[in-house]
Amino acid sequence: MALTNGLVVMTPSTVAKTGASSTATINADGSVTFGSCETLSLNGVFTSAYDNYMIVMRYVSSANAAMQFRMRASGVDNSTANSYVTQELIASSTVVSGARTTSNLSNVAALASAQRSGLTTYVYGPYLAQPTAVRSTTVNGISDARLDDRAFTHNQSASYDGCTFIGETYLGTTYTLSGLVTVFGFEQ
Amino acid sequence: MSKNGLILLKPTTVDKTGASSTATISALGSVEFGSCETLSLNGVFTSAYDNYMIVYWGQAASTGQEPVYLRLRTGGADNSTANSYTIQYVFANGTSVSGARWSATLADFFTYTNNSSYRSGAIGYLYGPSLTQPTAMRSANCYGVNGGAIIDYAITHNQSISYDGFTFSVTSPGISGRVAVYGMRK
Repeated sequence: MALTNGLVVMTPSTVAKTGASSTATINADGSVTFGSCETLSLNGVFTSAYDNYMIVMRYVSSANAAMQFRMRASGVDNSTANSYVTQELIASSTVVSGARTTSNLSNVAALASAQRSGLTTYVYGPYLAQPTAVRSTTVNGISDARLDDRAFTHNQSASYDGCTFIGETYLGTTYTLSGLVTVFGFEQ
Repeated sequence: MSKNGLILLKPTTVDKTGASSTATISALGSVEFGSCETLSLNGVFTSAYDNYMIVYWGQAASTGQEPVYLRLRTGGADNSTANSYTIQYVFANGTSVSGARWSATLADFFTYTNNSSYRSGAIGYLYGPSLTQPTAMRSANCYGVNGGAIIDYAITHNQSISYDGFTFSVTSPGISGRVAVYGMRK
């Protein structure tokens, strides 16, 4: 009996980026290598073929800050006020803390400049014209190793075909992202 | 030579309860379900794989929220042995972070809400359910309460039984969504 491939690489139709000297290349295997990006947009990765997706990224940043995230359709990010509600759970040494924020984007992970960080983010139903749920688990290189998880919902009943990763702007400086990202669809 | 590492598995059958409930196995194996108070997937765990991943999203149409309970299942019968499921959870809700551990006849595993603005979604891992040994499980949830919360569960089930499926259950009036089971090549 033929085995059904459970995870399908979603090759972006295009990528978009911002940032001086930024680079972003779609590789032959569907992953995207990116460097010095203030924003990195993956277009055409969510389709009607799959409900749920997994995003895997290794990354470093130009400074310790936040990596932010917006859903995107037809090349336009969704920035609806208060549409992203984000719960965070951070464990750093013996300190465990939580917080919830509501905004026009989500903090999907933290950025670290000293060590490599990695995230695995699960996106539930982005292409369905219904609200979207996202869960992100990361190892964060701040303080060499930090557990940095997020759950967020986006309450717009819109169909999205992509997403944008954003380096946080803090005190007038926008921090950049470098690394490699791959989006997978869960066969269904 | 590369090999597919994650295999979508197709249940042999599904069972369900709930007024007007529906459950349809797709051509490749996921299950789209509607208004189910219980949903059983049979024949998804086999000797071909030790470990499995379950991907789920769900929502209630009207009342009810958290949790979606899980029981392991073999030969069409759920295992409800007293205190056989031990559950550790962590809940991050705003600035409140809490945990608890308890034992029961079933395990909290996934979450849902009846808030139409906030979907719930989760991923779960089952380690060795088809082996005649105790089973370990873990889930990571985006729980759509208060806009979004984190609930994670780590579960052990102490019965040395080989299971071929599982049952989800919620309180009336049931939930709708999709669930898919994947085997991890060994």
